[in-house]
Amino acid sequence: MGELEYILLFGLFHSVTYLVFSLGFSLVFGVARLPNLAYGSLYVLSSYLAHALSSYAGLEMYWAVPTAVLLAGAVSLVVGELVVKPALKMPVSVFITTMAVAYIVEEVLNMLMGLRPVVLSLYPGTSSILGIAVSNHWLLVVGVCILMVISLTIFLLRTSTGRAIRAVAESWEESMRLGIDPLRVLRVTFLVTGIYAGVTGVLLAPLKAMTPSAGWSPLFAAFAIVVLGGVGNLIGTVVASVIYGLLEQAVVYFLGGGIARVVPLLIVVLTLVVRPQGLLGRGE
Amino acid sequence: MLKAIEIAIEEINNAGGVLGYKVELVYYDTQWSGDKAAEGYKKLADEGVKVIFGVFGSHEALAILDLLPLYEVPVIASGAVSDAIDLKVLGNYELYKYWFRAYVNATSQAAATWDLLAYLSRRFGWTKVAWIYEDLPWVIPHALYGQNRSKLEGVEVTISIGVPPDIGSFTDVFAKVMASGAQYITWQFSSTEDYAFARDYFIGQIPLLAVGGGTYAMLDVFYNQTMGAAEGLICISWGFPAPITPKTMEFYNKFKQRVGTEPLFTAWYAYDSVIVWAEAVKKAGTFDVDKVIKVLETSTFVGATGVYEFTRSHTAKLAPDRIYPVYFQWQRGKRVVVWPFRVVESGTKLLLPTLKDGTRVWLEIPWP
Amino acid sequence: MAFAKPSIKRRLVRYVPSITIMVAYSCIPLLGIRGFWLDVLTRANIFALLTLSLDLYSGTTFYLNLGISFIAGSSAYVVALLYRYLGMVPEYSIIPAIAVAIALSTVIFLPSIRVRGVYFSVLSLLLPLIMVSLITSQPLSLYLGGEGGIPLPSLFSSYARMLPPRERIPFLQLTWFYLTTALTIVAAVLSYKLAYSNFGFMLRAIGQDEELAEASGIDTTRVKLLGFLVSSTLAATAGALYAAIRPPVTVDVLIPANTLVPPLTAVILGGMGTIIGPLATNYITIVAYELLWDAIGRWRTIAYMLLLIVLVILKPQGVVFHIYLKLRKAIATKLSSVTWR
Repeated sequence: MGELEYILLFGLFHSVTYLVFSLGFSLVFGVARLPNLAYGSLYVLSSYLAHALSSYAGLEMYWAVPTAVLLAGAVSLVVGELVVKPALKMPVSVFITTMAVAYIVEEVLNMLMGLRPVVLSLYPGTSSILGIAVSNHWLLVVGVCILMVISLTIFLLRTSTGRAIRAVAESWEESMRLGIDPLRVLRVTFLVTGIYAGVTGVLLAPLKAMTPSAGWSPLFAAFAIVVLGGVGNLIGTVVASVIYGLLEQAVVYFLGGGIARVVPLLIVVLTLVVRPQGLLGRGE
Repeated sequence: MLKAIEIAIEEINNAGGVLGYKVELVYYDTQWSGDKAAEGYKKLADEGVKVIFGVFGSHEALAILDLLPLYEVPVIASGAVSDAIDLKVLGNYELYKYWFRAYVNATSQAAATWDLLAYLSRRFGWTKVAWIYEDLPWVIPHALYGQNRSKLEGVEVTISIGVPPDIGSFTDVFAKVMASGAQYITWQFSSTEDYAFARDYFIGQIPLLAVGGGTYAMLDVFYNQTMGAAEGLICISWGFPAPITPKTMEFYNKFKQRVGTEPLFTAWYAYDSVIVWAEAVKKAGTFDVDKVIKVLETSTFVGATGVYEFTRSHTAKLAPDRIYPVYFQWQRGKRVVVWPFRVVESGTKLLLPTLKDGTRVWLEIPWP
Repeated sequence: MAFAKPSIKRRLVRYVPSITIMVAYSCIPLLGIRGFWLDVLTRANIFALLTLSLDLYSGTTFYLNLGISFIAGSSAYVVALLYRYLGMVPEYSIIPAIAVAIALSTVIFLPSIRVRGVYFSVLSLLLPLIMVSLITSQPLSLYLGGEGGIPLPSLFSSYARMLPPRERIPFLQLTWFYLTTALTIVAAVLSYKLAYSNFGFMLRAIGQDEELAEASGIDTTRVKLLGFLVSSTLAATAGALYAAIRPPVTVDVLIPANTLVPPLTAVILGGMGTIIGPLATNYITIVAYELLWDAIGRWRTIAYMLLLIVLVILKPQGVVFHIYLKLRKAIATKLSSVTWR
């Protein structure tokens, strides 16, 4: 089995998941002008909710999962309303409040579920791609992710709400002048991005098993991707996700797991030092 | 851990307490931080506790070690496996004699694994093993031990692969393993890698026996969680529901009833640490630290995981008739003990993987 | 700022409250507070230095120097490494460590001081994280202590060993408490003076509108650099003390959640740039956090975080300073009503 095939295949698998996750993060960042540190919590929460729904409420997985994702969106909305909106005047405050939310969610999950990771059902079957045996679940993941990206694109380009979101991301003052209520847009953004974070979580939980503290490393990755691609630039996010996914796989393959932890951090540092606006971002 | 300790204390109090005193539990959450561990130790020592249990992280233990001679409150840990601690105790007994570990150190952990690997090598004539591990600092003593022991046993480690704790796919790892010509695999994880590992072991139809350790692979729910992919995996379990000592099943059932899930290995040894201390105090007839230490050093104690005999570095001795892990193989949803032989039930079979027409099948071999 | 110099008596009266507090604080051990709580206060003193460091620079210019964990961490590690490789005990290594940390941070952050906006903050946040990863992975972990950290004898422990065993801990605790209290008082007074001086005014001008400040003739780069230096000195001192008083030195000291978030919280809740507010908040939150354990045990992290969120949302400009101003006003009105009788 070739190294290239492996890195390419799994690099792309990871890239699409990072893409979906980072798009949400990028959107919130662009609209609210602030990083939402509680974003990783939604990634974790959706899996736990799905598990709870199926174990305790007796729902079948294919009902539990979408419900959990929608619930994640709702939680994101609540967080946005209660925690971000009131603190918008002081960006630093949002940093602290969203981090506090992330810690609270992690603590609560820890207390409730402790050392019992959540594993959701895997999509059955395997296929052979490029000579490598791959679980069909990865195919499901790729399919869903592509769908999510396409729907987001259509949403942003074609619907009025989507256009409103883009306007607010461009400039709050301008959009207010155009009669758009940025706070309403903010609400929708939180709902939508919460769903995107939640989807990524439930897609990956069957493959990796979810723990309460699993939200931080995707968050760092999303941060690196958004910085690399350029804050607010969604195409940049796409490009950066591909680069990041492939790079990460290559590093893990050749250098082992320990060093891979530093990759997102180094990317951010290098980008900020060499080209702060990211690959495709507008200059500041 | 906390629940297990509570169970132990309850038992002791019901049986009349220690030297007539009821035992009261005070606790402090160290939140996996050496700093907070030091805080906690000082606080509890200030409050006048007679002994401290728990201390699971090696870095937490190292952080409090130098406080021990100052406060003279003994610690009976049920984790903190770093050999560095043992070396300190040996190097400076007077300072660190207050430290005890009701568990084995890292080297012993590695030794237990290699005992089985060595046996398998002799039994089946295997000389090449592949090693897959979690790329974190705690694995280093395992690596060092493995390097030496493998040479002694005439086994070659054909490849070592370190993976990140949040790895999603082992496909390439297994490919490298097969390419290296290994005849069996040993693995070492402490986080959720177990799930991806089992899944890809199954999907890739890897025809090699895999013997190793992982936090979640040893739990009763693991088989169902991986939808049977765990079949054939041989996992180490420190603390296991089998009649190792008269206390084993009693504790297991009590814990399961109380908490609803199986005790993790930390719980087993936490329970034992309390039992051991209480007995030592009873034997010494006093709470006086130096006398209790003497008793701990010179007696043996029966716990739920085995028999405790403390070595000169105040750690539990590793031996099949002392403290020793159990190895089991996942067979059709059940955990079947395959090692050590004194715990194996008669009529046990070992599943050996082999390739037949391109698919992996399991051969049943009478065991031992 | 007043244009006429107030009379000597007026100035003395202004300082009475702060002097009283400082003296009262120093007398705490005499009240019998020993052991664990004295330790907590010592730790609070060290964190006060970090809080002052952050407030003086970031509270005024709004350039979030999130790198204080890096500066404090490097200082701590230098103390540890000087012991491990040169056998230097903390009594001697603290000052060199501070110097090295300041130099290191200046070199690293110099290019980004010119950079505007969020990038400075982001960069400063990532540096400690990268250091943590590097220190805990091979092969550097063997030289830098890895997860277990680097042990070293604590400050003055060699003197302590000359005392009988029972007296050792109290001796150490008392010396550490007084040392850190003295340093904190000096740092607090200095920061206060700086923050409310012309220099402080320039820092705040930069924070309000940097371009306007430049246009009015302020050499923003030099002011920022100076502010950064003072801030770094405070953070480096905190780090070195931390290493000397609470060994072993582990990556805990670099993790932002441990050394950045508490001071940041104190700065925000206390009122950015006011010095007094963050300083008071620092002590309140640290003591409250420990008291919470006695009160509600394992729920304290959640309770603490919830409280944080509520307070930040309610008064983003800083709860504590707001309360302080109200108190001062209330006392002043009381006093003036008495005087004018």
